[in-house]
Amino acid sequence: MSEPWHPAQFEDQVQAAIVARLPQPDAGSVAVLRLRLMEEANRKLTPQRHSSPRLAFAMGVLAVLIVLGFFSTSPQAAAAVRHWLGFIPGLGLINERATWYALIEPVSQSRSGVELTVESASSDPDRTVLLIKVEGMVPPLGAPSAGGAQACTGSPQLVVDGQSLDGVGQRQDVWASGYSYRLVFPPMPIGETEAELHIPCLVQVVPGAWPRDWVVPLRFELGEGHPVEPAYEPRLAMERGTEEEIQGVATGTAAPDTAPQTPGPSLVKAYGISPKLEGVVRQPDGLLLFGTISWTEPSILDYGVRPATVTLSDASGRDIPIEPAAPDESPAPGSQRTAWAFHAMGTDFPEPLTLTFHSFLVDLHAGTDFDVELGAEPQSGQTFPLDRRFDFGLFDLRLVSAQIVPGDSEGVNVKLTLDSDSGTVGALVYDRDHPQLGGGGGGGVPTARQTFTANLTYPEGVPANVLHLSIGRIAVLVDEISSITWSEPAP
Amino acid sequence: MTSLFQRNHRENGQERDIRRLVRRAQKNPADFGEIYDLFVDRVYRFLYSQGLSRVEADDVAAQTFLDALEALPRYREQGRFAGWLFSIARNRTRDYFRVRSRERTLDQIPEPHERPSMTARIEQEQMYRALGSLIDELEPSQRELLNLRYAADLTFREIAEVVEDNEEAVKKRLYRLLTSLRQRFEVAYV
Repeated sequence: MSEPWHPAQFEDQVQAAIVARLPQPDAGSVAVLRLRLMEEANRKLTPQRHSSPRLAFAMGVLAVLIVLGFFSTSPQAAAAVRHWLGFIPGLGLINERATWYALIEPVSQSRSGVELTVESASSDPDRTVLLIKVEGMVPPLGAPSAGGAQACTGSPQLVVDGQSLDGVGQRQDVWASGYSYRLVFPPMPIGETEAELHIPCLVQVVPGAWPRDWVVPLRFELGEGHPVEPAYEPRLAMERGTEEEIQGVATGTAAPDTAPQTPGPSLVKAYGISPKLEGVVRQPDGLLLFGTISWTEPSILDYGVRPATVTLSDASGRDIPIEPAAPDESPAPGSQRTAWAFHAMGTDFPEPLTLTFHSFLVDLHAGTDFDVELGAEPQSGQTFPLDRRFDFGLFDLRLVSAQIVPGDSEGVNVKLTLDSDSGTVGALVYDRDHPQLGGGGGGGVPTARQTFTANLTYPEGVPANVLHLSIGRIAVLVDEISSITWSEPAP
Repeated sequence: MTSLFQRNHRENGQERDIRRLVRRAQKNPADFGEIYDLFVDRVYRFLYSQGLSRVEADDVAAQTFLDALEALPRYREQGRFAGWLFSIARNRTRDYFRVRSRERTLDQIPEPHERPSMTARIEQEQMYRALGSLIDELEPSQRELLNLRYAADLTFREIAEVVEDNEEAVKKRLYRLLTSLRQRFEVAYV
């Protein structure tokens, strides 16, 4: 070390000196974090909804259905409903026309106080569906916990004749002492009647917390003789119909009949929103109506069109009570489709029935930044009148004010009060710079011209001076009627 | 070691690749894995350089990448993706220290588990130690600048986005800092 350094050489030595002091990241930690990110990424591929009171009511039953994230949807699963004729409670639609197989009897295993039961299963040429019940444990809600470096991260597989089938969909119901879930796999090879269900982990937990690596042998038999409820396949509902086709439908087909309730151009037409009835299942206590909503407008976000207000009436015009039910399919992200299902209470209706969508909630990309100045020492109770307008083309949003209020349990809220003259009924607002507890989503009753709020909760107090905020998306109410009529086809 | 030429080449070529990757991941979050693979070592190096232990760095790295994944749909190509990502890492590190109500300096960095040159190259080791001591004496903002440049391997433009300054100012600050550091190093050790 006797020669002076050339600046470039010295820079190299500084870099080397800094890097030499730093350890290499642990390969295991890096791998586990990658798995965790991939699970989170897959979770994002499942439907995202933000709530509003009416929507919460409309989709109340779905709230307990958690679509777990480590599966991806597949065209195979989506196509599965195209040829069904039967319905098995818990398993869903069955293609009875083809050879199909049913689990001979429920299979249970008990380990460390946890009982896992495959209650029923079916396999037809479209898919294999397993209904599984777990007693003695409840999975954590929300995002899965990583549980440290040795967290279990595997996905269930169905092994048939040495071939592993990966799951393509899963839905879960949770109750106090356990939960059940429905696994969807590709169809089993024709003629195979034995399989093994491999479940690496019931939930993503640290080693030792719950038993792992379940292997459950399953035996199937031909489905003939197993009870199947009748289901009806509307003739028009499977493919996106042209307007001419829709005009010409008669009894037993689906027919969106769109008409704007307010003067002006039809947004349903502009956005290409098209509700479709894809199937009806007659059950002892009523009817299950399955369907989808598709759209063509690219600025609508994934799963971004939902029924806001829906009614069902019979041929005499009498309203039939309905409640939301679990859809049988999960459209893939980017497919510009959402699925819906309603359960109609009662069986004795004069047909045809008319399912009327009175309005839709539509999520649109917003992508607008704005600043709010709170001063050097923002205090709880302070209100900042803002009166700032944002223009999103056909829709607008007014930021009325910001108020600092204590959080419900922790942190401090910046409560933004918003309204709109054009039908914006919700907005997702977030702070680009500071961590917040939960999202800043806000939404009101899905009725036009309502004031609503969006809360930003800061765990460590409201930051001083300028908040750099963004409006990520807005929810708008498309208040137009689309209706579908249906009656049971003649045998 | 990254030469100036390599840096420029990376800026021109890799940035385009990164943008393609980011666009893909914005459409399909499952593609975020490739972004993670590209940046994970640099993020960890940056976190270690901030004084985080291995366990702490694991936590903050997880928060950083989960935040990035969550916010990716909102990311717009106004700047460099690396600048955006390391801004998150920097904010998360600050949050971490704020929550723990403690400050650590570089001399509290845990000893690395492996030091390849420890036994074989005594002279280089001594020089690194000497440089390390001088770096430890710098202001936190100066140390951060060095760490962003050499631990996180960021370009000037990316650093400018992280520290919210302009690129030219960052470049001047760094070269001034290197000149000062070199003068002090030569006085003390050459």
